[in-house]
Amino acid sequence: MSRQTLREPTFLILTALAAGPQHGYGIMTDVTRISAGRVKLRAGTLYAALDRLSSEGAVEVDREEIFDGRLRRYYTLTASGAQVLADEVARMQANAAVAGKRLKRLAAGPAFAGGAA
Amino acid sequence: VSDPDALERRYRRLLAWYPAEHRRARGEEMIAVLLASAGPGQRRPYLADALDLIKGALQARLRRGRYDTGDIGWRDTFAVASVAVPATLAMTWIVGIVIWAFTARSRIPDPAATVNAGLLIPLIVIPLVAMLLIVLPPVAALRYRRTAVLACVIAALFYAMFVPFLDRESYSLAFLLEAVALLAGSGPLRGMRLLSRKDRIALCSAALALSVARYLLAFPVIEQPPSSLVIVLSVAAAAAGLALLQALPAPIGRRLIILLAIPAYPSILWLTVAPAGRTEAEFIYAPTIALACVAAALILRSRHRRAGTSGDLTSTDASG
Repeated sequence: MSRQTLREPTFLILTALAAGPQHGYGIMTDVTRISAGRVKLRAGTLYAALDRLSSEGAVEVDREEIFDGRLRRYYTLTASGAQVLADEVARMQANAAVAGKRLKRLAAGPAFAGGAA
Repeated sequence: VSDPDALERRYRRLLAWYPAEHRRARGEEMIAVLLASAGPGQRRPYLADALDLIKGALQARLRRGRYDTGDIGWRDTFAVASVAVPATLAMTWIVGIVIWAFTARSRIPDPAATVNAGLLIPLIVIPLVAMLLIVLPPVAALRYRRTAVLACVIAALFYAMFVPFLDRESYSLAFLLEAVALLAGSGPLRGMRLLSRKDRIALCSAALALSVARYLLAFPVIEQPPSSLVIVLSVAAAAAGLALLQALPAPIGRRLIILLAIPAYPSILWLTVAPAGRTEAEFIYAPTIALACVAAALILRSRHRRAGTSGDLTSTDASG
């Protein structure tokens, strides 16, 4: 599957949903937790991403419930969404592996000077 | 003085930047998310949140795509039905009471006997309980949905056993329909929010038109067969009601007609087995029969269209 690199909020939303169906506010808090407080999603960004991901078939509505008189809609990762996330994880792991190797070489000393992997 | 609704009002004002179909599909859940993430005592949206919403709204206007609401077309229709059914019942009841008040004198065998306690039950107690049972479920449903469902079932049994209306089985079915709508739908609150003020007026007017049509036909029949003018007026009122229901957001209006027609079917069944000489039923039930026929036509048409164009019923869920 050829697709562009996922933006971080999108990646984190898919990661949040990989744990199971979640409603909008649940996704927001989970994304904050996953990113150790570095990424704080706002509603406009979250729903723009959900609109895009659902139109691409990566997420879909799982169920709805009324909580405290308010509508909660739960979203779930589709098989296609899980594949997108898996591809992104593989890509990031490959990049991280290269980066890790180079950092090790850098730490080892003079061989790094001027060279490329 | 803190106004707990002020923040919600301001968020709604910001959501007005989004396209109408987006608001209809996502508005309520976005409000829920925004309020859940607000700080205690917060009265105004933070600037960053406001800008983020405006940015999201502009993106949504550029995309103008379809919004996945989980194919909840029927759930939304049931949500609207959980409002529409009691509204129709209440309207029918109010129209009935007005006509009853005008014709009460002729209904009491001996006007001098109005103080007779025996008449209190059929003339006052049963109608009052009947009205209470119409009002109770939708009010209860705002907070206690299971209680409301139970109230609907009790109401269905009460109407079937004690209410002396000719079409009491239709009333009973209407209550059962309300129970199903409460169970299967996303709630009357959602139903109310799906309807704009114009839609609500259309819904109440449709309920009023259908009720008037029913009574126009039912009441003269008790005394004498309806005149052709009454039949024309009734058919016109029923047609106006159906047209108003069709004016609701697509495909909710279409589906609502199909749902609201359910209580009409036993009447049709009853007609087929009606004893000779009870032809007045044909007139009494004409509006509901019209509703049932239109519903059947709509189902056939949508099936035909689905076969031809792979499904329109859900594709317009988020539109208009």
